[in-house]
Amino acid sequence: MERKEVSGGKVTSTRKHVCCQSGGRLVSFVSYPDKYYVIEDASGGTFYLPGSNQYYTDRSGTFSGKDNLLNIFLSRAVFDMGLGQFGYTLKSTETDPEGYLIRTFVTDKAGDTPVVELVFKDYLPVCMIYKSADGTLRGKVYLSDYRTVKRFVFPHRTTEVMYPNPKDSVVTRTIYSNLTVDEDDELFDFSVPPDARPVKMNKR
Amino acid sequence: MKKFFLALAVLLGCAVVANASNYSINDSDIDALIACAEETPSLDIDSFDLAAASSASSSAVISEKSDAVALVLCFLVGGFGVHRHYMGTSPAMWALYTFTFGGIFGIVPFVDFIVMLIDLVEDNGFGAYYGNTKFFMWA
Repeated sequence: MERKEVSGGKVTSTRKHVCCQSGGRLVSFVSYPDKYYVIEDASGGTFYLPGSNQYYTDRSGTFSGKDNLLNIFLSRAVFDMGLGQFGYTLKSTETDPEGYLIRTFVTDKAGDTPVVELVFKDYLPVCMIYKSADGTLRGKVYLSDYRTVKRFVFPHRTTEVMYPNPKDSVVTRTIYSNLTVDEDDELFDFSVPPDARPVKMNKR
Repeated sequence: MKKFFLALAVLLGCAVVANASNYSINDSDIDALIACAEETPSLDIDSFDLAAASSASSSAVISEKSDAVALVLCFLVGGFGVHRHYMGTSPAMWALYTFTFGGIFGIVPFVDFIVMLIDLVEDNGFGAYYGNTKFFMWA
């Protein structure tokens, strides 16, 4: 997959090879701009640098395979896009004149986006809208270019538009390619070598 | 009546267009936005500076541990869990070791030492023990 994030007139790019297993375990090999591995599962994320044989583990909850888009579609949690496992409850369901089905999910959990609207067209999610409790728009995620890979339907293009403040926006475009399902890939079995050394990271 | 239905149709049409544009985005516009932006080093992995960690000459905070030091600490003061804190563990580990009379009367640090010695001889490394928060780190 290739991800490009645009903010303030600058774009950053990342290319990675991702393997997703049922249960939420995600193994990624980032090939650009640096080469490193990322293992994400329900408990957190581990980053491994093969060049220096060092690794870092984050169990703060920032990284988790549970909310990854691949995992959501693989586990067929499309009804609520995985929001239920994070404490969201369905508040309402309505259909607009254009035929879009809109499900509104809410949560009281501090730190989480209070309101999330999922918009479906022909039973597939096409848009996720994040709002504050007072209705202020925080961001949108557009899902498009749906393709079927074996028994697996997945949006091969996502565009996120987030508004960290009223004056700025961050646009992230992700394009998936070479998606494979139930095929052998050595990345599935990757694990941090036992002789790798742990390191601490500087936070920016 | 005719004007009423015409106005209603216009209103509905506006609502439809607004709704449709709310739920979709022009990919060409996004591609153009990206094409016009200046390429910069990746900010991936959220706020963590991986580049600093991989550079030996950087001034980033990189903590490197020595397996040999961990083994010696275990041998000398293992009863207080000092080797566990050297390798990184939960803050209360020293209390667990100390108030169980040296890790269940010295049994736990003894097993720690043996396991670490075996891993050192077999060149397996102590990776599994760094940052380990379990009382029985070898379990």
